[in-house]
This record gives sequence, structure tokens and C-alpha cells, in this order.
Amino acid sequence: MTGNIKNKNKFGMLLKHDFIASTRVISLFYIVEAFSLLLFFIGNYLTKNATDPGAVATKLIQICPIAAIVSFLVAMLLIFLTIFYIIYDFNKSLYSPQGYLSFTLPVSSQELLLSKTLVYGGWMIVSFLVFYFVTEQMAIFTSDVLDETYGEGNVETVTSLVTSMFNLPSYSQIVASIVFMMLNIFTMMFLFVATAYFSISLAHMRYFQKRSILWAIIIFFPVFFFLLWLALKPSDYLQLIVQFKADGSFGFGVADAGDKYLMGFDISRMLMCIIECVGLFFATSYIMHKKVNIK
Amino acid sequence: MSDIISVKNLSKSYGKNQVLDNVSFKLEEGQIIGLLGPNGCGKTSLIKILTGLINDYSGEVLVDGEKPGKSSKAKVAFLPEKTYLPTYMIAKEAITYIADFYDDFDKEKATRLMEVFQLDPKQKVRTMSKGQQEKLQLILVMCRNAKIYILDEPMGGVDPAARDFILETILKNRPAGSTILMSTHLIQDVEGIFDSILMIRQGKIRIQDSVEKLTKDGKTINDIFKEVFSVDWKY
Repeated sequence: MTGNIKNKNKFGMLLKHDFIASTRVISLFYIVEAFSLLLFFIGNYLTKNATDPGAVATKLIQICPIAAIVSFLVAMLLIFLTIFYIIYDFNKSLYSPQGYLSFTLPVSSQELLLSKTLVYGGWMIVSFLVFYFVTEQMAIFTSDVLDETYGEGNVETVTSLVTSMFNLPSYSQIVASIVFMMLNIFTMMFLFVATAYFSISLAHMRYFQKRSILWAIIIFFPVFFFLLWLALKPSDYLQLIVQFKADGSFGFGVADAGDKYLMGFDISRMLMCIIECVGLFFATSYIMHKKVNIK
Repeated sequence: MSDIISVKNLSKSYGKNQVLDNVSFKLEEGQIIGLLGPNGCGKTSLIKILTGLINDYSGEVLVDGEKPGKSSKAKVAFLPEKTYLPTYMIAKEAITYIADFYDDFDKEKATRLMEVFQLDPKQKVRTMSKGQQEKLQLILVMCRNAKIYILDEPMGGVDPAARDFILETILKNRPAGSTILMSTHLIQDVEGIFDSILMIRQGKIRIQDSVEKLTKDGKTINDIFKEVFSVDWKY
């Protein structure tokens, strides 16, 4: 029992130090995002509320649209930078000489990998949420601009436009479809990262080690595209979907020609991606434990 | 005395290259053991197996009665040949990092040694000289109250003055009853501290005996090393 508690503590320490190490770099991206968002919010607030703005306020109002665009671009870039960083850091902390430290800690290879997966996965989710939040703010900002330019009532116009675009009757269905769409993209990105971890680990086996970066790239692409192709296969036999119904509700079910629903969102691929990620996790931890050679 | 490390029929190969060939030996607790051999003889592979860095081998390896793994890693203080600390850390953070993972780490002693070694706790590893990084790593290893210390070429690549300093630090800070397995090729400098010797040549154990027995006829360990390995350097 005591041993278990100690083990848990060690895993907690791994999480703590992985978080601290990643925060040092990733937080810099968020500072840039927070700064541009702050400028945008102040500018937006002043646009709406300042009756007689001074020189500084006028400047802030003027740069508001630029800050909006920068916020959006940085939020998008944030996702890619986060993914790039977590792949880079995985390689550096485990397979550079730093690996002598990581692999001799009193934890298992599986715990090393799990800790990185949780911390980095957390950062990926945060970067997605930030992107979602910024996109939503930009949408509101855009509709406000449309209101001012073309008169009131454009929020409804935009909503009905989006509703018709998605061909869905209710707002909750639109939100649900966006959430599922983002989950779908997120699992694909997670599969991308999991495949990168697998390829990097495999490339650090003695046989591939001399040209590990080259081998990691050579291994990555066929594995990733094969897994993407494989993820599509279950839909051929059993298509699990989210059903958006005419009464505005939605639920889960199996695709069937006889069913009556407005739109079906295929989640088979998403589920298969999750299964593949789990498979890659175990394969990578096995390679880390049994096959890699720290130079 | 009981055996702290027990190796039976250990073999390890990389493809066709056999680096350890059916190696068997036992190391007694509380001793300082010299692991000697030329480059490429299998020393580092053996150390990597004992420290749990290599898990793909055949044979039986026991470190304090356990297979190298999570539990044995908590008992082994390992000093690799390379500088391995994350460069973004400051010295103080490196100490906290090790203290977080190893229950036997003496943080107060580490802080004290930092002063003795004239290391700035707030200096980043990135800005430290190689010598300073090595000093810091030595502190991190020797401030553990470990059962086993595995030191891979601790004096490799440093000047003679630094060698004495490193050796002194190791001997001064080693807990009573602990075992030290030290690989080195600088035999002359350290042979006086060894209780026993393990010599490896081409993946096989050539000599394993106490220094007392090996040197009873007046030969030094350096002389014996030359006898065993000079065959590799003949025209």
C-alpha cells in the first residue's frame, strides 16, 4: 500500500515536471495571444462605449480590427506551435543525452509516456479551446460590424445563414455539430502526435539510430497514412453516427437508410482514431522499454 | 557479505555484433569495484543494463535481488559519462528535480556542496561550463544515500587536478556500506581505491578478483591491465 502511494507520488512528480518544462515554452505563445486579445477587447469595448474617445482610445479603436486578425492568426498558429513543440520536446527529453536522466528515474517507461501524453494532450486541448473561444469572439465581432454597416438584425441573419449552412433547425444542434467536428479534428491531430512519438521511438532503436531524424520521417508518413486509411474502414461495415433530428434534438445511433433524421455525423472514424492512439501508446511504451538505445 | 549485483549468463548483441557474451559475475555489497576495459569492450552496455537503460538482453541480472527496473532504479545512483541535465534548468531546480524523485536525496547536503563547489544556485545549466555541469551532476549523484553507485568514466576528459577533486568527493560522500561500481580507463589514478576489479575484453569477463589477490606478487592493476589488453595493440 505504501509502495503504491509512493509510486503515485512519483507519477505526480513526472506530471509536475513535464508541466513545468512545457509551460516555460508554451506559455510564451499564450502571452502573445493574451496580449493581442486584450488589445482587441479594449478596442472593442471602447468602440461600443466611448462617447468622446481621447487620442489613446482612438488608437486602440483603430487597432482593434488588426488585433482581432492577429488574435485569430495566433490562435490558429498556437495549435501548430503546440504540436510542433510537444513532438520536439518528446524527442529531446527522452532521446538526447537528457534521456539518461529520464530513463533512470524510478518510474516505468509507460509512466514516462503517460505523463507526457497527459500534459501535452492537455496543452493541445487548451490550444483548441483557445482557438474556439477566439473564433467565437471574432464571429460576434464580425456580426457587430455587420450590424453597424448594414443595420440591426444581422445577428439573426448570420444565425439563419449558419443554420441553413449546416441544414440544422436548432442552435444546440449547430453547437453539437461544431463540437463533434472539433473532436474529430482533435483526434486526428492526436493520432498525428501519437504516430510521431511512435516513429521517433522506433527511429531510436540501435539499427536506425545513426540517422534517427531521417528514419523517423520515413517511418512516420506510411504509418500515419495507413492509420488514416484504416480509420475509415469500420464505416464500411458499421457506421456509428450522431443523428440530428428534425425536432431539434440529437442522439447516437447506427446509420440506417430507414432512419429519419436531418443529418448524420459519422463518429466511427473518430472512435477508430482513438483505438489507434491507444494501440500506438502501448506500442511506443513497449519500444521505449525494450528497444530504444540512449546515445 | 551478500551479493548486491548478480549477473548470470548475460548476453547482449546489436545485430551481429555481440557486445556481451555469456557474462556471469557477482559483486559484493559495500565494495568499490573497478570496471575496466578498453573502449567498445562492453562496459557501457553492461552499465546500461544494470541501470535499466537497456532491457533487451538474455540472461539473468539482479540488482539488490531485483531485475533492473522501476524499483532498482530507486536504489541506484547513476552518473553517466555525458552531461544530461536539461539546459533550461537552474542549478537549484536540478536539485529539486532529483529530490522529488529520489527519497534518499539529501537536499541540505546538496546545498552545502553547491557552496563548497562554488556553484551559483541560480545559474542556468545552459550557461555553465562543462566542468561546472560535471560538478553539479556529481553533487546530484553523491548527495543520494543510495545503496549502489554506478559511475561511468567519472574522470574521463578532465584534468588531473579535477580528477583528484572528483575522487575525493566520491569517497567523502559515499554512505557507509554502499557499493560503488566505477568504470574507468584511467587506472593509474584510481587503482588505490578499488577493493576488487572486473576486467572485460571483447564482451567476456577476463579477470574478476580482489585487488589484494591480484597485486600480491607486486604487480599493479595497471600492469595487469596492460598484460590483458596489450594483445589488442600488437602489430
